[in-house]
Amino acid sequence: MTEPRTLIVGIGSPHGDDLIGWCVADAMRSVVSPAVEIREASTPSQLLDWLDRVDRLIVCDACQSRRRALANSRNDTPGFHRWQWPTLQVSMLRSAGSHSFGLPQVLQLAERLGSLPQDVIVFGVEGRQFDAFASLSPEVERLIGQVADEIADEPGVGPVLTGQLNPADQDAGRWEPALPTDEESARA
Amino acid sequence: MSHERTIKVEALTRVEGEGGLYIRLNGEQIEDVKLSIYEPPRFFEAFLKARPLEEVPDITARICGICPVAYQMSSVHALEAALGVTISPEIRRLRRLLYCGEWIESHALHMHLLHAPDFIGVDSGIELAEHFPDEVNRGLRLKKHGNELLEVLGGRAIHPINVAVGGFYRAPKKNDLLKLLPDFEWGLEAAIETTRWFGTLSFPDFTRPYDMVALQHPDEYAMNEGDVASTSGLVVPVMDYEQHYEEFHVEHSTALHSGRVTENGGRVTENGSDGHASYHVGPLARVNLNLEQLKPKARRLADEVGIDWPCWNPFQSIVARGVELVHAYEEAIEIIRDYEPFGPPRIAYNHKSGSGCAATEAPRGLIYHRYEVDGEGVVTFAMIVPPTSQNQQQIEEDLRDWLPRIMEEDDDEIARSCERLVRCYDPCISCSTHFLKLTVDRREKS
Repeated sequence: MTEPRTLIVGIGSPHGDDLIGWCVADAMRSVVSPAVEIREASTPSQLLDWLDRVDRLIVCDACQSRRRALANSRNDTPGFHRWQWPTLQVSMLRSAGSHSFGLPQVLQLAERLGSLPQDVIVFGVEGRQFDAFASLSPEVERLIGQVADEIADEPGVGPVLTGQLNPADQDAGRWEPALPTDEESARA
Repeated sequence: MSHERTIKVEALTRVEGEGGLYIRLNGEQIEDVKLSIYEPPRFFEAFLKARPLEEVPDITARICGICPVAYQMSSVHALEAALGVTISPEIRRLRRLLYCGEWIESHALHMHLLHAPDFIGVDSGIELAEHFPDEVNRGLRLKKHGNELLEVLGGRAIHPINVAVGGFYRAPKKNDLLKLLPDFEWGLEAAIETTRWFGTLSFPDFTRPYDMVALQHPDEYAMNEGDVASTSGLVVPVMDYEQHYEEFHVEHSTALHSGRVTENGGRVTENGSDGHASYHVGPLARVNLNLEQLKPKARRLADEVGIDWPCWNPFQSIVARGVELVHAYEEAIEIIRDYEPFGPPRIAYNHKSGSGCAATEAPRGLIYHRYEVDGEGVVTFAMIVPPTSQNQQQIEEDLRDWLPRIMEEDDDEIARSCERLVRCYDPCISCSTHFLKLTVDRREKS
């Protein structure tokens, strides 16, 4: 029996808090199980190229909510949301690069064509500024580790170890897994 | 008596960028048509100043997630002109191959998901997939091929990083390219079928006396170099582009318009015209101007699709895109089959002060770059004229001509109809996001 195949996609652009999708994807690389595939996309439509034989899709993108997103969100963490597709909440995402065919449309299209995995989770991180070539805002940058931890907790993602952002690598959007605690080692 | 009607469409779908459309009608009279772009200017050119010229291809690639290659190609060619660098024929072919990847990806996406719904009578690519799943799946496979080629040549799926001033940082491995060949051979036949299908669609009977502008090259279907040619007969070297085409500011847009400089030198005329004539760039202009340089299958297909070239109907640009899609597959297959690894992948150069310009053909139309660099290799001036700047004035004039035909429709239908016309240009309004709002201000004549 083969393991369910999980794909994690960070959608982003180099413009301010739109970077968050790429930063989270990058942060995930060192903590996921080897069976998990991680990709970065600059437009949501790129997702359509990668869905063959994927059982579980996890997407991280910046969002700008015009009103507070509450329903369908399992976490109360300020600044980001976790939605299970299908949900109207995803329509509030501000996708990077193009709105010609945004994330909700891409997911709907894949569903219509029968290529969308059964499990689709979207992490939306609320962006504050999207200026051209600007860095992440400090508030959003601080969320990289938290969002990555949340994604790592999803079924099938791993890791064996719990990852935590290494402050020294925050500028590069990189993070490293923390050493397990004695209790975690004992459990393992 | 005055009667005013206002139609607002909060989000014009299937268009790249943020802007608005304002139409003011007074009875049967069209008083004003404005394609308003209101998102903050992003000052990309200012961002390039004081940067090492080697950073320019990577920075410009990040301006647009849809057509990064167009920005990269135009910038490296312009910088090479400034430095006096001559690239090898192998590098030149590889750059054409990279551009084929972007054309395939962008054209397939626009044709199937953004533009085709307008001719099928559905509101979205999603609805189209419900009625034509096989055709949409075919289109998505074509799009995927373009992206895969970009990944092999560009180094990654997002914003290719392998393009350098002087060539490429790394030449691809022959096997990596050859692996693409079976898919591309399938894709060529699929692209032909797709284009035949689009050729059977019903198009509005609407032609305009366009001045169409595209690159033209004596030996090939122009992508990366050539003279700037026009259906009005003007043919000028790229270095003279700015003498004939000029950016100017209009109040209702934060993006510059670009127009052809008319005889009065761009001065405001008595009738209120600012003296810049509109022109049309994009696939329709390219096919019209360079029909005979299409690859054989694309050239034969152009004769099959029920269009008498040159074509002056903007709605048929979807067919021109299809013909170019086939051309891009043919050329890509040819280059991949003949490819042999070569060295060096990048031509060495010394920094020197200078100025250089270049124009290439983005999927949406001609894109022009000019740079000045100092002796240390630092950019002191940058100018980028994207295709949509050049088409903005043309879109407004098209709408003025189109509106009398639809004025009897209700407001919703007018809005939809105007959107359909705008989409013919595949506008990437500002290489950013957000929405385009449409306002029709309708007043009855007393």
